[in-house]
Amino acid sequence: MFSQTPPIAPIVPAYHVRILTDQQLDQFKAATFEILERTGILCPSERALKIYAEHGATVDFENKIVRLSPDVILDALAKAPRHYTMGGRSRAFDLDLSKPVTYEATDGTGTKTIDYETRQLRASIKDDVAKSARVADYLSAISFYWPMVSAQDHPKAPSLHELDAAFNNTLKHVQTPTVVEEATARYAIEMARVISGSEEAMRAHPPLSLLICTIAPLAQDEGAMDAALVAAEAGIPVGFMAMPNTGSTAPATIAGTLAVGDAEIVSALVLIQMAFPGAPVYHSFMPGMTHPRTGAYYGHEAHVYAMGVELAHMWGVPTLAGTFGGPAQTLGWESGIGGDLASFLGSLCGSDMGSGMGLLDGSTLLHPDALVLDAELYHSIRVDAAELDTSKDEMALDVIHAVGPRGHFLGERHTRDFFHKMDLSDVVHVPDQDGSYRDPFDMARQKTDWILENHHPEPLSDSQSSELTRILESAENELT
Amino acid sequence: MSDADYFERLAKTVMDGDHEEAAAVAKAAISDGVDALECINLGLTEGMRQVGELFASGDFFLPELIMGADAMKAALAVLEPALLDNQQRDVLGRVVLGTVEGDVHDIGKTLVGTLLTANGFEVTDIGFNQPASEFVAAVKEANADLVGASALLTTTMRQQEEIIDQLTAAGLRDSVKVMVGGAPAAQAWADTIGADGYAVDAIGAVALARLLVNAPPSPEFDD
Repeated sequence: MFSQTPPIAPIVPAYHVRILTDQQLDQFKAATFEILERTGILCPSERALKIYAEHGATVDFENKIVRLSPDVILDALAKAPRHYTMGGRSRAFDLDLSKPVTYEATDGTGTKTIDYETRQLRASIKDDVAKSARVADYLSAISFYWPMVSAQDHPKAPSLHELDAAFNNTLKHVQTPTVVEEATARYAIEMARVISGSEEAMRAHPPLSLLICTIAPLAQDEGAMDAALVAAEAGIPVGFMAMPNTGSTAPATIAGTLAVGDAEIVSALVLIQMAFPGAPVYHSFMPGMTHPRTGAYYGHEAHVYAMGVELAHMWGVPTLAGTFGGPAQTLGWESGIGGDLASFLGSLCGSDMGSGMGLLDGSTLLHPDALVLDAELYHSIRVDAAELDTSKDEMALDVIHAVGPRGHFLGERHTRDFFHKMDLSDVVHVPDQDGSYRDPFDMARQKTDWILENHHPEPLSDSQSSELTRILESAENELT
Repeated sequence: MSDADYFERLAKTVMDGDHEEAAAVAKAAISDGVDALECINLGLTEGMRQVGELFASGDFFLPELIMGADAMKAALAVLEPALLDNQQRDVLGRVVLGTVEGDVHDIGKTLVGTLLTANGFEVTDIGFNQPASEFVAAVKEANADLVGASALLTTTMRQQEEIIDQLTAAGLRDSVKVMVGGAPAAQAWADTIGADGYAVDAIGAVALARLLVNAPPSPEFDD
């Protein structure tokens, strides 16, 4: 017996904000043009260099530097789709990026776990991915799943084991940031094809997408770009995330950080469109801030990530916004601040996707209860962003007249009915017997334990499971 | 329709929070010669018990408690005049409730009164902005076992102490228990002014009242 996966609840913003003016967007576009035409990007992939050269780029093969003119950039990006669908295991969990909503995902990919049962800190393992995927599958706040930690108990093909654990434990779309070599990408695509049932179905509703990080400043990774090309050829959506660090791998200014990151992303988007015009791609700007004393990185203020959303849309592609996450090493005040604001602001700027829920310590530590707590923050901002219903029933004039001055509404049918429509949290504001509220941390732990004990998503078919196992065995034999 | 059918229908009106139907069923029951006391004990009280049970389990919210209590009150208004001379509804205690002088907040106090009524107390609600002397007069008139004083402001909570002082001066303090409540109140405040108890909310007030009159705890309303 399996349990139903609750429907996802994306953010549906009823109002919007603009952070960058049209003039500022023009400045950033000009900056990216100038950086890519004058300084260029380092591209170590021979395959990518040839593609660039064949499509009008100026390529210095000896130094592996690619320079792109504005015309070449615009011609390539004109072929990129603004909207497409990322598939779930069933159509109910498809992510239709043409809708004016924001879909949010878990964070990834950490290396440490507070064990779900013993609550002791240890290195992350595949079962952590399975368990966190099951929790994510239950939470309506999570529209798609990033493998949250690394399957370090499978050193030969950890990223494929992470996908295996994810596909087996959630019906939601899976997006991986750890498939960063060509060979691994081919196996990952084979796994996605098994989940979809056919090549055609996979292209129509890809159950997997890749996230490839560029290297700041102004460089690409050889294996990752080759993996991106393989995925794009198969119709798997590919996103490029720039993570420049203000002050170290980017200038010590926000504008300079945006310029460096955007140039990196655009160079990669251009490559994919040159090779496979119309391939689904997305833009993701996830900068950090370098601490002036220690050199360690920490997150920017929320508006910086939202500006990345506006840059993506300026280029006519979807975006994955940076949300949640943060440096807090344990659950508490620090773990609760900032991330939800980035999600809120990103959504009001029109972000298509966001990721970052459920990890601590700079996205390296999986705490069993963090996902449930972040989901609470998510729902709070989802309600903040939603349209206010001003229908007759909601305005409630009849009941206002009926109660009149100095009455109260607690004895009204209208109140009773609407109280029952309220989406009451089972984590915060849960009454205790002494009239106070129960500790949200305790409630989150209780809820996590309940989900793991009771929620078992629809399993893959036996043939799908055995196919995935066969693919993993082949990969382990080939990959070292 | 059998007596049992009437009891079941009365219980259902309480569950549904339908005060009009509750009064109508009560009238029909009396017309059919059904015993009024049994209507109260086996119909209304049973309905309120079920409401309390669903409230305790989280299925019902405050509106169901209040609407159920209102339905019960509407039916009681029909049934109590029909009680035989030798019959008397079980009353756990007589309570005087009010909001203290200078304070016009009374929803919490009204909610406490509604739930106390539904739980078998006879409640005299003297309203809001009532001086201590009015509490004392009402206690005398109702021969009350309990007095509940509500204050929502730090500037008015001292009136709760004044009520206790005046009850003492009137020689009534030994015969009446004093409950205090409201946002600024707390158990420590109750202890400071010599009140007999403090409850944080209406559900707690019911449990406290039962405790103060030595009634057995109610599984639905006991803290």
